[in-house]
Amino acid sequence: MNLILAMVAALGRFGLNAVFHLGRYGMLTSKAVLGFFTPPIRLRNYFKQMETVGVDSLFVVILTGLFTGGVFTLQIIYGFSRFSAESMVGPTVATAMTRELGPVLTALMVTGRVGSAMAAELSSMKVSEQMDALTVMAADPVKYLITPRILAGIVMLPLLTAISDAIGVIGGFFVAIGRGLDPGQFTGRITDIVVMGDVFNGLIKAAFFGFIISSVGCYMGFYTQGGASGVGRSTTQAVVISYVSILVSDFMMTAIMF
Amino acid sequence: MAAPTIEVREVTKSFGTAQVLKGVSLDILAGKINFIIGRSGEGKSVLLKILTGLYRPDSGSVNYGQLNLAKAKTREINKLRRRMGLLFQEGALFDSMTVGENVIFPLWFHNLAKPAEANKKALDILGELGMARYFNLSVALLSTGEKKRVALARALIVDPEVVFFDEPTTGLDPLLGSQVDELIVHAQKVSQATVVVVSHDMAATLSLADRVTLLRLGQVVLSGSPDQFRKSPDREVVNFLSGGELA
Repeated sequence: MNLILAMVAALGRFGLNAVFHLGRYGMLTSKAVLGFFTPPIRLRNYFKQMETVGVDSLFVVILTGLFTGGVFTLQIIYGFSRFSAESMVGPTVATAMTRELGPVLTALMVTGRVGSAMAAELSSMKVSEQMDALTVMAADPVKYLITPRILAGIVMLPLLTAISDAIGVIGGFFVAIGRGLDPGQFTGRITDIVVMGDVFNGLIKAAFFGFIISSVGCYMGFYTQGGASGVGRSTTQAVVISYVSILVSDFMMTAIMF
Repeated sequence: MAAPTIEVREVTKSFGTAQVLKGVSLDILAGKINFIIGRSGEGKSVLLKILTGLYRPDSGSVNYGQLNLAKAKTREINKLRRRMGLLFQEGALFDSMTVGENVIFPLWFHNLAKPAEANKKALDILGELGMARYFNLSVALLSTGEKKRVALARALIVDPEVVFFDEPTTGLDPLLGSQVDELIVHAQKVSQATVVVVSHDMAATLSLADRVTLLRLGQVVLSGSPDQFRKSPDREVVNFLSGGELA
């Protein structure tokens, strides 16, 4: 009986904790999103964050897209050639990249590179009283620190994903050529099979993932408690929560969109 | 505008079950150096955060002229904050910025000056503090004492009416401590500001303060001039005077 009560109590605590964090997350992100529309708008700050999220992540996203397209092509050539469907390799790679692999893998890579950095930077600003310093200078820390990061995530993830999609297909193309496929065989039916909706929906997913990465990273950093160990804990939690949220929301969006 | 007298009346503040401030009342004298002293954990820093609007009191009032911080809207508090500066214990400088960018930040953020004017003003203030040559240096490369000077420059650049110092000499060697004491006097003299210092450095308190408030267990033991402290028979005050530094 005691064991059952303990389990119910633990479940209750978990539920309360989850509701508390979801509520606080909702409040913080709402305030940050409202910041898009309220002055003063410091464009330099926005562009700096876009550079950090977008330009600085470009190399790793290109590398990921290239090898993902390449390895995916290797796998499907093997299967498709067994029933003479080589002409479907290109469209399949392009569909997979635009619908799934591009948005999801780009988001996971950016989470590791940028989401964790956002959590770590904001955490250390919190524990070193830099956020209090902003508040005392009448500079709203949410508007100054979080709003530009969330906007940068929403804007830059689709751009990175578009690049990843293209690079993935190019990587697949060269692997296919290397495996003896005719270039025309690879590209011939891509435009027949892949429609703009695939690309567009993939980019919408990417924008949502960008929101998740930046908002979760900022939330974990903004509410850090404790010293250096708190910074480490927040960073780890930001990455884990973002990864899980991306995968779960990807499933749900895919079910709705396609 | 003349610096206001800050009236703190019956302020209480709790965190969970721990009551940190238990009905604190004191006056912060306008244009003077006011010290708030006490041992660690007696509620000094919480009181400072209440004075700067970072915390709201559970009850009581903190009046800056007509404005009661306990009930004021965030917009009203922010308006007041543009007239105050706070020197944090560790400086709280933005470590991704240079010295100059840190000092200019309040002017830049609130569009209070054109870039050239802001740069000139920052250089002037940094010059008075002996830090002008570090204008383009990253703050990460500065020593603790230098960081405090830059933080003071950042606090002073908005010509504040009230400047707060949070345990400015904690963790500093005596030489740096005396440099910080000079900064406190400098802040008061240059801007004619009201200065509030939270400290447990008794030597600085007795030599610099115009008014001293001793906190003990979240309550005010005595609030008065350094002379009143020297003459007080209260055991806590006597301990304070004879103890060198409260730990």
